[in-house]
Amino acid sequence: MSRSPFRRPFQFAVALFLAMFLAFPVQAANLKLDAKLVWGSDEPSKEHKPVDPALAATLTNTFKWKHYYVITNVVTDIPSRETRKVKISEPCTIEITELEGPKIEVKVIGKGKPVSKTVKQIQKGEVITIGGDAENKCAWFIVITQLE
Amino acid sequence: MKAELELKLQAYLDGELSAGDAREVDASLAHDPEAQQLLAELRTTVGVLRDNEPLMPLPESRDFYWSKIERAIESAQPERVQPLLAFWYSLRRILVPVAGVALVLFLGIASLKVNTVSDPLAHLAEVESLSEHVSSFSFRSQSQNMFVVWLHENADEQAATDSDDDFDDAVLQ
Repeated sequence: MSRSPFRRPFQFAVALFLAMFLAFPVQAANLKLDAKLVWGSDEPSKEHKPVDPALAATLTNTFKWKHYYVITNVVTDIPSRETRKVKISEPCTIEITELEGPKIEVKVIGKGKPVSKTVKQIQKGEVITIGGDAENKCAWFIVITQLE
Repeated sequence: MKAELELKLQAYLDGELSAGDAREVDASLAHDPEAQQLLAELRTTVGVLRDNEPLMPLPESRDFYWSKIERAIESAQPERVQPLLAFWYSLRRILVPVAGVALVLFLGIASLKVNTVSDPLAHLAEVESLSEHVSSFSFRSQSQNMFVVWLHENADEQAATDSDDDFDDAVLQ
């Protein structure tokens, strides 16, 4: 009995297709996020570490402040459908929850009281920033980016 | 009659017995009519087989016969395939792997598209103020690929109090 010449490519295609579908659960693995507390000011500061040039450019092109400094930098792994608390300063904590979508819910808690909640689909390369005014015409920013 | 004597009679007939055994068989035959009868039957059978064996003489020698077959094989021409059919076979030889690769690429790209499809509503977000003292507004900077939520204290609250609960200033402390 002769074998069909299409048999081998077809088998290979099916195997590849299955492999790609099996890769889906891998994508639903931990969400690795980088959360930074950034201080924006018009005055230069030698006491603080400036943000990396790429983020500095993004912030400068969006906000009015001239200088941006990293106060805290936390990298966290958030398992699927779980919540992680990230303390970014003494009075401020953020709770990040990985949701279906994939989306994240970011809850800002100041002095133990919930202040705001943001639910947003996160995409690689996108920056989610939650900010506000600070004293001396400065500003604070919580900058969240997806690492993996 | 003993089986041994029967075997000896066959060997006797074929001339395979030693002189001593042959004399012994002769002695037995002299007084054993049954042995004589068997010997006569065997002689008749041998004679019939010898005289009636069919002979199939080859028209040529064995070597010549096989060399003819060998020459026929060597000189055999491959069957001529029609040009259109030959073209189709050669085309199929190329098309089959090309189609296989194309299918694999198509499935691969389609799967990647499925994995990385950009949701047109991906930029939408839900922003909720959880404190009555804090309001927020949000915007998205397409050029910077940044989504911003800006929190600020309500104006009347801010005017009324310059209190310790000033969240905006508290974050950096």
